[in-house]
Amino acid sequence: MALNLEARQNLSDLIVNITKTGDLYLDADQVKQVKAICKRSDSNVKAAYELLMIQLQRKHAQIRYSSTQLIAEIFQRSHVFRELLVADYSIFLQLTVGIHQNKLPPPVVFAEKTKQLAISLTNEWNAKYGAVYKQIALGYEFLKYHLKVDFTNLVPVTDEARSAEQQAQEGMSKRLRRKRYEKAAAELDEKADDIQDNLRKMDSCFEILVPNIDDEGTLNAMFDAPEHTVEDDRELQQDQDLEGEEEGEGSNTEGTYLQHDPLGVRDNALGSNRYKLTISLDRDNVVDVHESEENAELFATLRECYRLIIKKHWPLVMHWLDVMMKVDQEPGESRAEYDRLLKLAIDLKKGVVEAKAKSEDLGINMDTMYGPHEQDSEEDDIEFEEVEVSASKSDRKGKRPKRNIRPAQAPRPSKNPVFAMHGAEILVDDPTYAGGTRIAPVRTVDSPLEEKQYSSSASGSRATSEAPSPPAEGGETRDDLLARAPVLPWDDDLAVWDKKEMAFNTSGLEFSHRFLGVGDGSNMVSQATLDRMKMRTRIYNPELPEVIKACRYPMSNGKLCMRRDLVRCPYHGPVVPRDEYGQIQRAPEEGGFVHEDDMLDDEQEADLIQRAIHAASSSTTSSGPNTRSSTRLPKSTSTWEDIEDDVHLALGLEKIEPKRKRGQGSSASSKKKKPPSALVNISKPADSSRSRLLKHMSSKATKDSLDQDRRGEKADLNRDSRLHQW
Amino acid sequence: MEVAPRPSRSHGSSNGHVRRCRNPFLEFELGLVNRARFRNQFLAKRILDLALDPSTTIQREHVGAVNTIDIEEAEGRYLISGGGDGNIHVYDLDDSEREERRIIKSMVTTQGSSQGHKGGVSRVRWYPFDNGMFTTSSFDSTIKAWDTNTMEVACTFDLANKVYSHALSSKATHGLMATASADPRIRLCDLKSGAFTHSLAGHRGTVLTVEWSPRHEYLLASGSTDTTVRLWDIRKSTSCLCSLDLHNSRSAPLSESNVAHTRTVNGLNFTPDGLHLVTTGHDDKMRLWSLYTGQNTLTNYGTMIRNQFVSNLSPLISPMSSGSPVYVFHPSDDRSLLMFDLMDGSLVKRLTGSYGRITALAWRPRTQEIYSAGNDHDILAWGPKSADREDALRTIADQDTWSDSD
Repeated sequence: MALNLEARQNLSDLIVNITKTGDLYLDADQVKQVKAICKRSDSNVKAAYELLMIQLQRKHAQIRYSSTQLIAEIFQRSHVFRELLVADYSIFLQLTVGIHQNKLPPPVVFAEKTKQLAISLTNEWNAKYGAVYKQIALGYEFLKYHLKVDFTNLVPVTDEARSAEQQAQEGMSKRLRRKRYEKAAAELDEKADDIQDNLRKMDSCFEILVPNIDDEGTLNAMFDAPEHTVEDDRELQQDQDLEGEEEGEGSNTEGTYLQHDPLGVRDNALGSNRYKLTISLDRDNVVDVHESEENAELFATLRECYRLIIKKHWPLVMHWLDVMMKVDQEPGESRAEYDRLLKLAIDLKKGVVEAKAKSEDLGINMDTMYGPHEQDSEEDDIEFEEVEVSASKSDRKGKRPKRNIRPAQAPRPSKNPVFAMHGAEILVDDPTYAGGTRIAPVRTVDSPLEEKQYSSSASGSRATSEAPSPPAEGGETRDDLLARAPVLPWDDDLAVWDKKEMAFNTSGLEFSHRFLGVGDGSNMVSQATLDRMKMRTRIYNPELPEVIKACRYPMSNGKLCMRRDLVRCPYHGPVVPRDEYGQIQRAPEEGGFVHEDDMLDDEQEADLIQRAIHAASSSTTSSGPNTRSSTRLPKSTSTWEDIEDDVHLALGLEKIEPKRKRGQGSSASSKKKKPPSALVNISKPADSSRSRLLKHMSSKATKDSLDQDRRGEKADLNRDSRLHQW
Repeated sequence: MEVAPRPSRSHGSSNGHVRRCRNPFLEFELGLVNRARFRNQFLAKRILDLALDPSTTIQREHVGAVNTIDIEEAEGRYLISGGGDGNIHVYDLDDSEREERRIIKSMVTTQGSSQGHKGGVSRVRWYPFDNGMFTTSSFDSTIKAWDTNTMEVACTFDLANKVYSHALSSKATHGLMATASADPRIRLCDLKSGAFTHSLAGHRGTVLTVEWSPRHEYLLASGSTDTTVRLWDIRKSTSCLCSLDLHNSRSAPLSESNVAHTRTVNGLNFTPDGLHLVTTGHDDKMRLWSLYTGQNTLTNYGTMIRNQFVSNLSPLISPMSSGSPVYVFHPSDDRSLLMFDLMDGSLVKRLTGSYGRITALAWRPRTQEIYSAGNDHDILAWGPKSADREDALRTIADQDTWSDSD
C-alpha cells in the first residue's frame, strides 16, 4: 500500500510537472517516467487517468494541450487506460474540442491546438479502435455530423499513424520509381541504337579528321620518319600542336605545320638543328585540325551530331542513369535485365562523353554551329538563340576558335571594384550591374568608426582588390591607387560623385511634358542639383556613457557633492577624479578640461552622452527611479539604486533594501527556484484597446477635465438662455 | 454477482468432477440447476453486463432529435421512432442479425408522406396486441393511428392542444387511448369508434405523462406540471381515485396538499407486475410508489439524476422475475443512462457513451437489449457484453502495448 501511495505521489508530481510547463512538446524523460510507473500496475494507470482528467479540466488551454498529449501517449499503451477514457470519451471531447456548448479556455492559440489535436486523435483512434470502442466511433460521428469537422488532410499525431503514413509514402515513391524505371528501360532499348549510330558516325568523322596516333603506321606516314624513340604518345600529340612564336595569339599561318615539325628541320633547309626554337602550345586548339573547304562537310556532320548529343542524348542518358540508380532492384530474374540495361546506359554515357570531348577539341561547340564554309541560309534559325547557356559552359574551357568568335555580349565585370558593395558577389549575376563605378583612386581615409561599422564591406573590398589588375594609366600602378582608395559604404552619391555634368534624359528619345510640351532649356541636370546629389546623408548615432561620476567636491557640511554631470559641475567646476575625502587626485591639466587618470573610454563617453540626452528628453528627471527603471535595463536600475545609496550614505541614513515581492521572508527562502513555466497568465486582463480606453476614462484627470467641460457647457447654456430673455 | 449457480450438495458429493465445473450451460444440461433458476440468473447477468453495443449501428435517419422510440411486444422485432422533424421511421431489428456488424436501416418511413405530422412527434406506441398498427402523438396537437402495412393514417384525433404523450392499455379490451396534453383534462379516445369518449378532470396543469396499469384494466396513472400524480378509475363518475402524496401524510386521498414531486412530474411507469409505480420529475428525483397502499416507498435513488426538460421521459423497468433484482433505467440530462436497483434504490451502473441527451428508452425482451433515442439524432443500442465472442479486433484492443524502453 505504501508503495502504491509513493507511486501515486510520484505520478501526481510528474503529471503536474509535465502539464504545467506549458511547452508545446512534452518532456520525453518525464513522459517515460510516467509510462514506467503506469506499466507497473493497472491501479497506477487508473491513478494516472484520474490525475490527467483533473489536469484536463483546468481552465487553461496550455495545460489541457499538454494533458491531451500525455493522454494520447498512455492511451496507445494501456488497455485499462483505454477503457477508462472511452467510458468518458464525451467528457474528453467536451474538454478538448468543446462539444456540447463547452467553451475552451484561453489562450486561444492553444485552445485551437488542443482542438486540432483531439480531432486528429479521434480520427486515428476511430480508425484503429472504432470497431471495438463504440464511444470513439460515436464521438467521431458526432464531430463529423454535428460539428461538421473535416477529417481529411489531418496531420498524423500518434506514432503509429505517422509511421503508417510514412510507409504509404515510401510505397508510393517506390512504385513511382519502379514505373519510371520501366519507362526508362523501354526508352533505353528503343533509343540506344540511335545514340550508338550517332556515336559511330562521329567516330568515323573523327577518324578522318584526326590521324589516329595510336596507330604506328599512321604516325610514320605522318612524320615521314622511321622511328621515334624518346617521346611518348602524349608528347607526340602535343607536338602536333606546335605554334608560332607569337605569345598567346597564335594565328595559324600557312605552313606552320611543316615549320614546327621538329623532325622536318632538314627538309626545310635549315641546315642545322642547333637553332634555338621556341615552342608554345595553343591552348585554344589542341588538335590542330582546321576547318577548310575540303573538310567542311565533315565538320557540318560533326556539328549536327554534336548538337544531337548535347541537346538530346546527353540529358537522356543522364536521366536513364539517374532513374536506374534510384530504383531499388530486388534480386530476381529481372536482375539480369537490370544489369544489362545499366551496363548499356553506362557505355552510352561513356561514348557520349568521349564524343563530346573530342568534338570540343575540334572546336565544335554550341557557339559555332555554323562553320565559315557553310551557307548562312539558316542564320535566322530560332534554335540559334538557345545556344547561349551551353556557350558559357564551353567558354570556361577557353576552346573558342578564333574565326568564329562573336563579340561577347555579357557585361564584363569590372576588374577594379574600387567601391566594394555589400553583396557584390550576388550582383554579378545582375545584368544591370556594371561592377561598381570605376574611378581614379583617392587616398584611403582610415576612419575607425567606419572601420568598425562596415568592417564586413571593407574586408570584402580588400579581398577583391587583392586580385591582380592591369596597370593603371598615369604612372602609378593600380595597386598603389587602390591602396589609397577610400572604402565607403554604398550610397546614391557614388553614382554621380565624379560627374561634372549630367543629362537627365539619355535615352535619345524626346519626352514632352503633357502640359508644358517640350522644354527648351538644356538637357542637363543643374549644377546645384548635381551638387546635392553628391551629398550623402549620414545619421549620427552617438553611443552614450553608462555611468556618470559624481562631482564629489568636498562641501562645507563635510559631505561630498553628489551632483552627477557629464563634464562640469555648475557649482564646483570640472568633474575631476577625487579620493574618498574629496581631494583631487591629480592636478588638472591646462586648458581646464580635466580627464581622469583612467581616461573615459569611448564606451563610457557614449554612455555619458546618452544619459545626458535621456535627462534632457524626460521631463521628470528628478523623480528618477521609476521612470528610469522602466526605460532602462536592470543594470540601470542598479544605477539609480547606487545614487540612492550614495545619497543615503552621505546623509547617514540606512541603505534601503529593495522590497521583495513576497515581503518579509529572507532572500534565501524567497528565492526558491521554481521550474520555468511557459504558461500564459490568463488571469491577467488582456491589454486591449478597450481596456486601455477604460483605464484612461476612469483616471481622475480625465474625469476632472470632463467635469470642467460639463460645467463650462452649463455656464454657456445659462448665458445663452439669459441672452434670449428680452 | 455470482454467476454460476451453486450445485446442490447431494449432486456434488456424488460427482466430484461436476462440482468443479463452473460452466452454467453445462450445469444446466446436466440438470444441476432447475430451468427457471438458470434462466433468471442468466438474464440477470446479461442485464448487469449491459453496455454500449459496439457491433450494432442504427442508421441515422432523423434530421432532428429523436423524441421517442418503441419496440412492439408481439414479436419484439420492430422498432419505431418519432423525431422532432415530424418523421416516423420503422426499423427491423432482425436486419442483418447474423452479421458481425449489424447495421440497421430504416425499413419504412412517413417521410415525404402527406399524412405525416406537421410538428415534432412526442410519443409513438405500438398497438399492444399486434404490430399491424401504431399510434403517434405530436406537438401539432394530433394523435394518429397508423396502419403499419400501408403506412397510412387510419384515424386522426385532434386535441387542439400540444400532445405530450398517450397510452394504450396492454391489458384492456376497451381499446381506449388516454392522452396527455397541454389541456389539464385527460381525454380518452376510442380507437373502435374514432371518437372521444370522455375526459378526466382533476389536474391543474399540462399533463406530461399518462400510463395504463398492466394489472387493472381501468386503472390509469398520470403526471402533470401541477406536481401531482393521479390515479384514475375511468369507470367511476368521479374518476380520480387519489393523488399520490410524497410525504405519506394522513390527508384525504384527493387532498389539495398532496404532491408527488416538488416540481413538474414528467415521467411515470408501472412495474410489469403492476404493483408499483415509478415516477420522475424536475426535482431530479425518482420515486417508487406502492399501489396497494398508494404510499411512497421512500426508496432513495440518489442525487445523480438530472431531469429538467419539459417532455415525456419515462423510466424503463426491466422485466421481473422471481429471485433476481429488478432494475430501473433512468436517462439523465448529462447524457448518461443510470441503472438503479428498483427496490433498494442503489445505483448499479452508469452507462455513458451517448453524445446527446437520452430522450426515450425501449426494451427489447428477446435479446435483453435497450435502445435509446437521443437528441443528437441518433438511436443507440445497449446490449449485454458478449464475453464469449472472440473478436479479432477486441483482442487487439485488449492488449497492453508497453514498449520495453518504458
